[in-house]
Amino acid sequence: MVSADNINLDCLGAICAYLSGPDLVAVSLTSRSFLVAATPHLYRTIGCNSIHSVQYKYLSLFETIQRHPQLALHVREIDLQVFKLVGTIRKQFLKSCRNTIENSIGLESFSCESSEFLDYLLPSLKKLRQLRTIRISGNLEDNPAQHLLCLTGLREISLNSASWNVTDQLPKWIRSGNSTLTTLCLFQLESLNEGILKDVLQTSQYTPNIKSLGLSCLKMSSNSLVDSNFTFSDIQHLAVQFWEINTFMTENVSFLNLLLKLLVGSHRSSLRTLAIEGLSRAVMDIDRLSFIARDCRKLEKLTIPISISKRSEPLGVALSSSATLRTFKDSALRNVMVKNQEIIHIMNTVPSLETIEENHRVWTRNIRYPSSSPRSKGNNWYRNPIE
Amino acid sequence: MVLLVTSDNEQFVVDKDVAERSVLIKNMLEDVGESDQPIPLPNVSSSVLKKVLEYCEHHRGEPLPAADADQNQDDSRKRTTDISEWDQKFITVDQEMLFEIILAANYLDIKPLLDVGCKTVANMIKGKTPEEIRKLFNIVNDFTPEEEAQIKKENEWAEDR
Amino acid sequence: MTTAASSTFNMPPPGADLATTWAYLEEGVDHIMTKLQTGVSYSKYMSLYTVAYNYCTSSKMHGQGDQVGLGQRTGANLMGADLYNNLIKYFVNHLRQLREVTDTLQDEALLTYYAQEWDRYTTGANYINRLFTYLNRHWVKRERDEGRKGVYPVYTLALVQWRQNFFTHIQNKNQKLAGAILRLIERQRNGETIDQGLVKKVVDSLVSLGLDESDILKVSHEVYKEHFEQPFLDATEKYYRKESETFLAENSIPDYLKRAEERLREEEDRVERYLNTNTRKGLISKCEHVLIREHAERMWESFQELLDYDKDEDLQRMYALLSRIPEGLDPLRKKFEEHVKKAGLNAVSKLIGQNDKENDVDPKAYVDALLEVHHKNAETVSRSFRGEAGFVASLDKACREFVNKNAATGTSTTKSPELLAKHADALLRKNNKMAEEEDLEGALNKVMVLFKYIDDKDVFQSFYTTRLSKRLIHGVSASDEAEASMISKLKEACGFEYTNKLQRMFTDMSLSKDLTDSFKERMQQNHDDMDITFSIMVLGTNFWPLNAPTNEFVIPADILPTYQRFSQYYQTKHSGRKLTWLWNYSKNELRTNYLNQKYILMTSSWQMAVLLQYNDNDTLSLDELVTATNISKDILKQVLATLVKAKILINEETDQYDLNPNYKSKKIRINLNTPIKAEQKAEATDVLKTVDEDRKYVIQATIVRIMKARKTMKNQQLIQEVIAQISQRFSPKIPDIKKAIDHLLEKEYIERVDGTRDTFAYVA
Repeated sequence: MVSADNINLDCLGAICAYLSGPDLVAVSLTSRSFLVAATPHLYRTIGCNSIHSVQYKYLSLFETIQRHPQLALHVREIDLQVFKLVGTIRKQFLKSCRNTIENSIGLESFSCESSEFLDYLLPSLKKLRQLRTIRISGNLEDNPAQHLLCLTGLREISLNSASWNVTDQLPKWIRSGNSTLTTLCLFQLESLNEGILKDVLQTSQYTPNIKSLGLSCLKMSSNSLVDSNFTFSDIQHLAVQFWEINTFMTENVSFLNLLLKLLVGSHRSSLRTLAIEGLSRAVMDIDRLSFIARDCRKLEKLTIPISISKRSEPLGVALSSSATLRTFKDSALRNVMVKNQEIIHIMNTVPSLETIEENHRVWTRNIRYPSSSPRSKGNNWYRNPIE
Repeated sequence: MVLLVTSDNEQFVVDKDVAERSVLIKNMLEDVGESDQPIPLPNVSSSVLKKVLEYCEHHRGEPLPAADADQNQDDSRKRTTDISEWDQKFITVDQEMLFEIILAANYLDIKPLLDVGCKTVANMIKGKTPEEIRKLFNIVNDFTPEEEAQIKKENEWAEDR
Repeated sequence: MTTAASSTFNMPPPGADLATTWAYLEEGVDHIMTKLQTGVSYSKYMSLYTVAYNYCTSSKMHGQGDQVGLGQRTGANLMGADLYNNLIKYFVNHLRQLREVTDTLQDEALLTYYAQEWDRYTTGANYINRLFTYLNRHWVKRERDEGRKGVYPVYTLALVQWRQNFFTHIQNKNQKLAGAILRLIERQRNGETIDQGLVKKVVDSLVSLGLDESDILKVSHEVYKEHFEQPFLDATEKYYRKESETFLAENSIPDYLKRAEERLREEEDRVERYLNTNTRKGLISKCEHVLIREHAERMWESFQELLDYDKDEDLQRMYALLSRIPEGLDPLRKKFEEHVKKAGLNAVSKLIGQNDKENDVDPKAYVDALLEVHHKNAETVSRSFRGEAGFVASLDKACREFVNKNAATGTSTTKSPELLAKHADALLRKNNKMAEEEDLEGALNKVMVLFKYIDDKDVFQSFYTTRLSKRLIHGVSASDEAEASMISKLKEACGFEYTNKLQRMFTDMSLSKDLTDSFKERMQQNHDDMDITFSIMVLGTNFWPLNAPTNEFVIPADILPTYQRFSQYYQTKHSGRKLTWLWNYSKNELRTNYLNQKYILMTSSWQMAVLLQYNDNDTLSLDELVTATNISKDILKQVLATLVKAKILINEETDQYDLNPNYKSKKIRINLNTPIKAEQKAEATDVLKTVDEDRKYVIQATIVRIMKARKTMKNQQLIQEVIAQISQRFSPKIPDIKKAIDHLLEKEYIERVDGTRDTFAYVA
């Protein structure tokens, strides 16, 4: 009789592919064959976060891999989140971590938030030929920034708090061997100014495949905009985030408007996702919204700061000029609570719409009661705009 | 039309495009060429094949997954365990049949069916302790206590993920 | 049916051990690899797949009681490895058997065997690959993901084994396989017919055998390159080096050109028919080197001969071949230039030789001779050299040289433009034989062909203007259209400024016609004593190359009233304009009353002045005539000579001229107005004098224009710039430019920049 106990390992492995974290740990402790099936999936994604650091659990991870080097062969994804380490423990950690990276020849994705770790770890990535995704702190000195140039064939580059050293290298880095790129994200830039924007736009010449572009900044330090002719050939997902709304000056509003005109305007025929976050509602008016809904013919998901409460009627009219919009999210902060009736009104006015998100609540067409939006796992600074 | 013969010698006559949901059968017909010969399926019993054919019948005409789809699907981060309504109903069977279907899908190379089966089992496992899993599937713990302790310690890091 | 199905299950049960499993699989694999033509049944196929599948998925049987730990490899891996290794063993054995036969095979037989086995092997391997698809998808994939070298999907594995155990075995014996292909190709080059499909099959197999370790989907040509392409290129080089040397020893260059062309085409075809397209570049450049580059010297040497005998086709071929190698055409272009130049010079020398030793060359003969040389060689350029720009430049350069300087011109740079302008004048005159418009247009186009090469275009301009003015004044122009057409051609070639004067001349002519009409009308209203017919041309001094008479002249009383009336009329119409009467260009018609027959005498003004004296006298002395006409004795003597010659006057005693009362002529209209010598000679020198004046002015104007734009400039730079700007009209001489600079310094248009010796500044 066939059962979970005697089903073949390939099938057991296929089942484990749909499990993660604690579930996989539980499976691994069930029986020998379950252990064998779970192990590749358990070690597919490894890393550590601040919870680990408190309990020094990261040591158990890297020590285990050092004890059984074959485990490194299963690793496809490494995610190192920020935490403080000092003295010998730090040394020990970095050494075993670097060792693991070097042995993880199948590694496809590497994330690391700590620039001090990166100084030490970046060189070990050079020989990994399967590496496709890199999500790291971009706050690097000149020397480690040079190491980035050796990473080629990437599909995604996401940089957090990129320093001038790094943004300056960006066009060169992408030109030399990264025309494969499909996603580029620059997060928590100290400031978004025309210099950086020019660097970003310049990369468009070398990236025929790029689909997603994400930018987020603490503040915008310019009110003029580069007169740029560069456009990405086929951008489908565009996200712009702002982090310090309090310092948001009126002159920056015009900068934002120019930015939107440039980015949205020149990509409106290909855009499928547009997200603008971190702004107070004052910035986004209904008129602008209806332009976006009308001009972006393929737009499926729109995230934009605008307070729904008491504005459902004009909002519905504005959104109804899109035939493709399926998800609408209000990203305005400190919103007044929206009534169900208002959501229903918008749903009725915009027939293509399936989901509305607001204040961490989610409405779908069939279920008229909001559910809370799923909390994103861990730190989301590198959140891909596709997601 | 294609004639399929199960391990218990039962015969099934099915449309070619239904049978070809199985990449194994599709490849064989391509290699050997079509003829009136029966196609023996020594690893599949009639009760399981009946179920499998029900699935193939329902999904006939849908595009087959590309040959290199494996690579993309390996990315477990993006895997969901959502199952469509019809499939959900279809896969509501006893445990033995569930595993039989998984095995048959694996043997016959019907990737979407294999996925439905594996997702179902994964959903059964989610949130359970090792002991509960053993109980669910009637599995004997074949670890020594020392081994169990070692594995627990070594995989401890993953508990918080 | 039941029996058919159950017989299938005559196979090892799930969980059977390796020996049993492999024994069953090996039998099936061997059947597929050796006897596939006898067919495979569904049940055979399914049972083989199932047995392989069962074995690969039986991994849970292992690991029980083995060492437990996270680092352990799964049992499935080990099981896969067994099957994989057994497959290798099978392929090795299989190929060993296959290759034994090759030891006794050579050349075509070897290739035939290789190709046939390759077909059978790869077809079988494709089957096996499908049967072991589960092994590929799981065990092989995992091994490769984990970075294991030397593990491939089964089909690739089969190719790797073929290379190691079959291909390399044959190749190791003196490159037996590649040698066989090369010999076959050589036989084809020698003219035999070979089985090209066979070569293609073997060559294609070499391409398939290339493998990129890290990415098996990538095509790698390493095996093809190493084992075939390089030896093939070497053999090609050797073959054609030898062939071309032998051939050239016995044959002429034109024959060789044909052969080389054929060979190159053959090699292109060869790539198309049975080689990998990537070989084209290397092969063709190798052939070009051996067949063309290595014999380029000899081709260059025989080029002259081909030109001399107008061997168009051979020239074409030589051009096509040499154009394939870098710098292959340069010597041809140089030689061609020399050739054209020589031909041009010879043509003119021959012409001079024919003519009497006199310096006067017939303009038409001269122009025709130049044109013929140009035409013939232009044809050669377009026909044999495909109008290639380099040869066009050579032609132009050569033509420019011989057109401007040849036996007819000597050292004079003005002779050629003069002759060309004269020829153009002849064409545009009435009574020219080329009356038909089409011919005339064609002839004018030909003039323009040479005009393009003329250095001193301003000289041509001056002569042309002079000639045109005469055509207009004397009304002998062939047609207004032809004149306009020529002017528009010149305008196209040299710009508006160049033809501005010419166009103004036409304007003056038509204005004059109107003026004459309106004057006549007025006179008819006011006077009834008009017994002479009068027409007038009023020509702008600046546009017409005409000189006022140098001698005094008493206006005869008979025409004086008309003269005065017109002057008055003109002054009232255009007050302030000064009229200068050009008696020396005027024409008159006198009617005779003193003879039985009435004649009309067509005369110059001087002749008229003389003849009118005989209205009152029958005989006059030279001195009396001088007094009466105020014409200088010197000129008057010549005028009288023409009248005496025409027998209107009789000169029996010295300086005594009588009217001939018995004058007789067959014609009623008698033209006495032939140019006197003093006027004839003047033309060429006058024209050249104007040219010199114009040039001075042009140079000065150019300098001022340049300086105005640049503000300051160094001497050398300025001179160069002037030459560059003017050379389209004529080649300015440096001393002339320096003179002009000095002149402008003097006139303070420009000044020397303080503290420098050779920098000038524009004075605003």
